[in-house]
Amino acid sequence: MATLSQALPVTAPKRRIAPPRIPWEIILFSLPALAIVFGLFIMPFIYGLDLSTHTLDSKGAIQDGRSLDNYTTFFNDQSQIDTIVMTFQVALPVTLFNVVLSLPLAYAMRRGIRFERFITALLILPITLGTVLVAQAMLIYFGRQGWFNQTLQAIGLIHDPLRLVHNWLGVEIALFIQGFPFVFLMILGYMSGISPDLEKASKMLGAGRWRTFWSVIFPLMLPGVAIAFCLNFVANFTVFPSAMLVGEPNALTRVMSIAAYRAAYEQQNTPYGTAIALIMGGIEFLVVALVLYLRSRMARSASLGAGKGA
Amino acid sequence: MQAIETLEIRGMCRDFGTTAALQNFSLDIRGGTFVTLLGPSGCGKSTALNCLAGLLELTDGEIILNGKPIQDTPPEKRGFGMVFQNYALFPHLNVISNVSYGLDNKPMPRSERDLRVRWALDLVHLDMDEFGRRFPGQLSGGQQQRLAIARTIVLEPSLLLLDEPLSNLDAKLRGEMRIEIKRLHKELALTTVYVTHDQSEAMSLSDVVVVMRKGQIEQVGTPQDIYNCPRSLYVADFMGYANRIPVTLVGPEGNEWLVETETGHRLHGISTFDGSADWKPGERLLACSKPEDMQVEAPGTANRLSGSVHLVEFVGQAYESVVRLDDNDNLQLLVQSQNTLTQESPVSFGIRPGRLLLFPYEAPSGKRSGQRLSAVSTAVSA
Amino acid sequence: MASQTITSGVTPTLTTRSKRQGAWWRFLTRDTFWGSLLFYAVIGFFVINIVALVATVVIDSFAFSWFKTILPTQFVTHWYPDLSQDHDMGQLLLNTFVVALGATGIALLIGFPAAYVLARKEFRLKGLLMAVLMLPMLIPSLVYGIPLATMLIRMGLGGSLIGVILANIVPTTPFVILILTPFIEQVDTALESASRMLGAGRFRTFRRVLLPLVLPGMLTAGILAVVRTIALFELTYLVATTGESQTLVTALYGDATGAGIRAHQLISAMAVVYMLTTMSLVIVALFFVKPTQFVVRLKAK
Repeated sequence: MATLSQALPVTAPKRRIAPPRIPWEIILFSLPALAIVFGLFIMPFIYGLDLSTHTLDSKGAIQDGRSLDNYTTFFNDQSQIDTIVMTFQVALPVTLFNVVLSLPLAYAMRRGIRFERFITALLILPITLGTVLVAQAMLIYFGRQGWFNQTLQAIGLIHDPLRLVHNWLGVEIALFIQGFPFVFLMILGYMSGISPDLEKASKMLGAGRWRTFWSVIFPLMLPGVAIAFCLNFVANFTVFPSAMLVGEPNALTRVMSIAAYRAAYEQQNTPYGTAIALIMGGIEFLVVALVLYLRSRMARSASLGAGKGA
Repeated sequence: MQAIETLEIRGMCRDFGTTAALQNFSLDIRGGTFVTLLGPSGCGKSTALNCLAGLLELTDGEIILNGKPIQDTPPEKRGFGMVFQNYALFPHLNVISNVSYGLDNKPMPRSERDLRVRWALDLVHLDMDEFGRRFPGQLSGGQQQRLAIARTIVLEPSLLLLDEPLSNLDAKLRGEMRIEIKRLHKELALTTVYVTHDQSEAMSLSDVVVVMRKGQIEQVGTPQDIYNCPRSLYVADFMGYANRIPVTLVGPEGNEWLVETETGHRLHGISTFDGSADWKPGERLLACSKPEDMQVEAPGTANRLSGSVHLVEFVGQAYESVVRLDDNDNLQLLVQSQNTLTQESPVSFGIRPGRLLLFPYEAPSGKRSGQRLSAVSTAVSA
Repeated sequence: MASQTITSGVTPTLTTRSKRQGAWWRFLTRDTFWGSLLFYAVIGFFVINIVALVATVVIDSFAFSWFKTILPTQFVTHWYPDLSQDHDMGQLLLNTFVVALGATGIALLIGFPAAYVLARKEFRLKGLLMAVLMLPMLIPSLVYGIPLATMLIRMGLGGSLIGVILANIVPTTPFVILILTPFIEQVDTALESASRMLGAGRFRTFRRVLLPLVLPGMLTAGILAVVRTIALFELTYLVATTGESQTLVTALYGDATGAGIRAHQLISAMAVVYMLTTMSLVIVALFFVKPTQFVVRLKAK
């Protein structure tokens, strides 16, 4: 026969208050990574902040007193303020171009690409080769006597060779070669994550292709686009090797990173160079924060709209 | 492993953040029993099983095995075995390695280990020579299930824990594996705790059924107990007492109670509810019954109601009809008949004596049985 | 009757013609046709230029001289041996691998437990932990690179391989964590529970269940991190102040900026050596990982 067990009446009404457990596992496991971030990232930041408040004396030694002199020097120097403008002039157009070009391409290819592995392997080539090599190769390929100009001349599109390196355009091309595959593959990833059923549903509800794109796909894409924009903008904002090699580092592409590097290493004024680097980081952070804020606002209004509609 | 004589669970509690997933769970399990924890998803049955296994730490309470508290023993030291809902077979190990995984933790000559693996695979009818070198991904659902069981019983656990082991199988395999589990329990005399949301599984397998609700035990008893004498409306609902008629108590009559429906029909019912001794005439109650106990063909019983057929459905052994009671459009009941009924035709049906259970009145929550009827009526009115 | 004959006579020709026309028409107006055309045209243009870009460097490195012609008039191989006049190539290659493997190895060792916590545990400060760990990926390396390099130089690590490795760990660790986390999430927690229920302790569970199942992820993260670190220029450049701590990429940059004093073929030869190093690793990598994994995707939410 089955042995019958029974529920006991409520015997233990006194609940001991469980002491808060110390999550040892979480602390121990994340400690090494946190140590790296603190020791090699946050500490240098604090160190840099401190360093940037000192100035050099005439012999190049760091003085004791703290001041904001480095920052006031920067903002009182028109040529330094120009570097901010130049940095934006270099970084913004190419970032926008990358995103705007990637969106329709990714949209067209959201259901998969033929020879995907092969094409993406070729696309990531510039990313894996790195900025220095691309810039170096551009000097030859896009030079006055390079294949690119030779081809254009041969098919009669141009008469005189175009000037494609050692100027602003050169930096833009270099950043485009580096950034476009990155942005395209990121946006393609987000795009293929949108369920095809949503698109079908939109069509079944009578929306045309345009309406479907603008009212279904695009809003769903926005968060991904914002992230892709941010990451690419960060990379473009601190362009350094390309600006030096294929730009005009003394004139039109004298971006903030060059100014910071030169102050710190060529003029041996590390406090000033650090100050410029931190200003650069601050401005970049503001742009990223603005984009992410707009993103979250749009996301909220989108969800509100959906709520009202329901 | 040390066999179970008694396993006492005392006031077991488990919180997740601020929500109490399991409250004051107390149960005595004797060696060799098949105990089932039954309830809808989120009722805490899986939490209870994981606490018992040692995979979740208790917030409060104790687990006493043969007189020794084990609630602070890590899972690998408890000597219990567990079969997981999705089997949790190691995908990178083949069938033999999966089964011998647990044996590797014990010092043992290779020949004995091989013997045990073969014994366990034989026991679940998985041919070692044919399947031994295959990987879990190359097995069918039923074979994976057998492997999961073999991997656990090869260690001869003192307690076997099964977490909804049949829920990933199709209906036919589920029936087969149910019999297999019952057979293994008999052959090995394994003390077993089984978690399911399927009341028919619970009924057919268990010695003891524990019905759970919101992290607490609602009722404990044999399957027959739970099925025939649910002690609360919740358990009745879960056991398929789909028909609910709001009634007013007239008074006791012999062993039964006499109640009156809103339209003045008098019915005889019984109560399995604990607090029924305090009931007084005029008390608002719900009379509950299963569709199979409301038969059109049942002759000569005093418990009769009449209405009109609204919708007929063939359910296998019989026809089940949605019947709207005369004078009361709001009340729809599921009634069975041996022959199909014509829609909109009047019908009179009897309720088997002793199968109308009375519970204190609760406003319909729009859940469970209510859902079924309202879904039907929506479909009809649409 | 008459109308019937007419319809039955006409309809077939109509349908066949519209069918024949329709096939073309449908092909041209198909949702995907113009999109594909646009896509393959743009991507094709891009890819052709990239391939040509790389090819010019290779050809240039074998050129005696190259002006105004499609191909150089005369091919020579002496630029490669000439490289060793300027650089200790063996040292450069060794440095490159030591830095890349060292930084990746340490990042994996440190990143794995952190990724495990992020993949498996739920706790109140998880969002904060995630944000702190990912911070170095969102701040450009030059911003923290200058103070970091200054600090490392002050500590006497400037110009040493240890300093270069330390600097490269900073962006590599979050990268590795980001790649490993989904791999660990993929491993069903029930597998770890099952292992415990079968009598295995924490360590054995890690060694025999989690580690083998996450190995593909470790491999992916490792290969991607090595490739990235080799191409990562700024941090190495700022910290590697001496010739002995240079890697291929900083040496290439140094040659390129001092272009006036060197034949450009010599720089191209250096670029080819660098390229071969990276490409051989990328090709190995492509056997194990999908090319898209070179691009890190942060979750949209």
